Amino acid sequence: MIIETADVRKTYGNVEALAGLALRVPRGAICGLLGRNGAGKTTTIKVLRGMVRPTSGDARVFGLKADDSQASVEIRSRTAFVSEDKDLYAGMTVGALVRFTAAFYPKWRADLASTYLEQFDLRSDATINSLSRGMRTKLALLLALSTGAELLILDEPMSGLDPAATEDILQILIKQAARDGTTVLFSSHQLAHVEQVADHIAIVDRGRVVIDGALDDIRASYCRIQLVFDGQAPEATFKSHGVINVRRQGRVLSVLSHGGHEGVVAEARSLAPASVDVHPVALKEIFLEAVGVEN
Amino acid sequence: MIIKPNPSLGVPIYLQLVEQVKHAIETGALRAGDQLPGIRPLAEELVINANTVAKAYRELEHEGVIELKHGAGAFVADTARARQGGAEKFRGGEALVAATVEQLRARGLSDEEIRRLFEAKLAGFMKSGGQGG
Amino acid sequence: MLWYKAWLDTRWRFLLGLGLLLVFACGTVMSFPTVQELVSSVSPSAISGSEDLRQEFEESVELMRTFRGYVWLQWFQQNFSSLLTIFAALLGSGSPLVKSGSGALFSLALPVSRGRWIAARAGAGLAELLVLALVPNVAFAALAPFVGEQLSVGEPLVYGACSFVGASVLFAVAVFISSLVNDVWRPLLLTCVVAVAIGAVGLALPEGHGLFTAMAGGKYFEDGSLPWIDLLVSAAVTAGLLYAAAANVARRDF
Repeated sequence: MIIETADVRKTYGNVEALAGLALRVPRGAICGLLGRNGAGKTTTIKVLRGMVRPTSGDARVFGLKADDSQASVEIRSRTAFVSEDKDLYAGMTVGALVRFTAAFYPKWRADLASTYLEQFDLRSDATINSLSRGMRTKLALLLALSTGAELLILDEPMSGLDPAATEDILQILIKQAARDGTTVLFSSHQLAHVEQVADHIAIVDRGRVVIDGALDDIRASYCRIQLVFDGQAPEATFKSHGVINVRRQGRVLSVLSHGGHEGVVAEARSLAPASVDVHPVALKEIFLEAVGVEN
Repeated sequence: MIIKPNPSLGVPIYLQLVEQVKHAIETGALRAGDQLPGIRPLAEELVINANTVAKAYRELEHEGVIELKHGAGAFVADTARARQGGAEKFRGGEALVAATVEQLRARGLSDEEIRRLFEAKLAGFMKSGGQGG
Repeated sequence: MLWYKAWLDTRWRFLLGLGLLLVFACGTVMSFPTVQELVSSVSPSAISGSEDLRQEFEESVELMRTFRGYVWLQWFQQNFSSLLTIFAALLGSGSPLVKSGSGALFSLALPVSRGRWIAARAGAGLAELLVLALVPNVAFAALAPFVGEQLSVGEPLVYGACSFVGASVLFAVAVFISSLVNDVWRPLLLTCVVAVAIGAVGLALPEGHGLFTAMAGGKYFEDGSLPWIDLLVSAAVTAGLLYAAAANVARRDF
């Protein structure tokens, strides 16, 4: 595990931002960090960055403690961060900022920097505050990728970008992960982006990780069983383990199940429905279910 | 040649890829011995996770549809030749579907209803025998 | 690179200060003939008031007669201390890692400890302050011939050095306050308030002591000796405040 946190808590005054967070990100994964606003995604990232010290608990990156100042410097020399508002030195030129940043990373990849400068069409003499939001995101990403970091942590990297720019960014992340085995952790509100490129996800709700693991495994473990009856659907309670909820609508009974649906299907057949269909569940539904939103 | 998979379909992306490759072989777009794109280049082109492409290729290899040759890449298997004989099978299937659709239309079913019948049948077949996953 | 960034953040303030002080210094030199005329046309007996006031006035007039005395009184004791203090506060205000600043999150992401950020900012600021304290004073020796006078270069530089040590304290106060609050203006304001308070305390202290007195280097003017104790205490306070500022920044959440 390149990132591993155990029971991390963070309290601001009397607000508990993190309430026992256990996040695990394996090396080489592209992990999507999902959650509602205020769920604790940004606080989690801040803890990993060493910006914020947890009230209690253990947060480790590369096995090093994130709240130890010296270890945090070591972590930051091997990790690149892109914050949500792409906060950069407004007055500097692009070229100056690239040279400035390069000085801090011994493993700086000048070849990547010049490749991306050209690919993104960024002029070295342009001042940063003259760049559009999309260009600033690309510059922030360029800097992050050129550090030669083993881990990239991105907070809402695609916010404010048009679809074309978004696709560019996603492609670059894919490329980097595939070519150098860089681990990527990115928080996002766009489930479609996460589904497209992530192979792992972690869903954060109310300061805790409620679901985490390989995306395919998670998706496979959920299914919706649709029972259609000739008459009115019966009021049925399912004893099988793993039934999350049951909905009745006229002649249809819809069962959301997690983790092994065979038992549920068997129970369902005992109700003698006219048809039994098993459908996969979209990530959106899994997410809404995990964060407790009534559908 | 390969269409970008749609993550919101509810069908795992790697399965979409598997189906696409099989479909390409069935229609003759891919023949026995043809080389498939490398995992990384394909991932970059489709903008999907490289592990997903790898998983699709492994599944295809497991089903005997393709062969992964160390260092050389992925190739459509010779046994796929048998499936290719299925290019005719496939076209035969197309004729059958066309005839069935006409029959169902004659019965008064709308195209939408016909489509749903086919989908339900196929989904039921794939799923109730054990999750495709 | 950190020092370069500190320079970028403070260069306009520094250049403004340097420009202003140079102009004021030149102005002071050039006004000497006028002042001399004024002074010689005033007789002490024309002043009404208390005996103390008359005595002080007499002393001042006496000092003003010579160029050396004029420079010390008009410039170092009066104008320079205040100006240098203000610029010390200005240079020290605004932490490099301030939340609302441009690029703060980027700075925090770099593999650099927070202590190093503060150290670079403090070091660059003190270097700039030293230049502000010394360079304008070279003007006196350089321009003295233009008003028909002479002054050694060494003496103003010594006064300048004393002023630097004193002003550093206020610089450190500004840096310390900046480690607690997030904007640029509150540290500046609060430091000026502290400066006024120190000045007030200095008035209450026995003659020859107090921060601003030490800054002016009065003792050196009189007998060529330096107020070592005051200078050492100032340096220690400066160091302590800077260390505390670094500790504050290292501890806090961003």
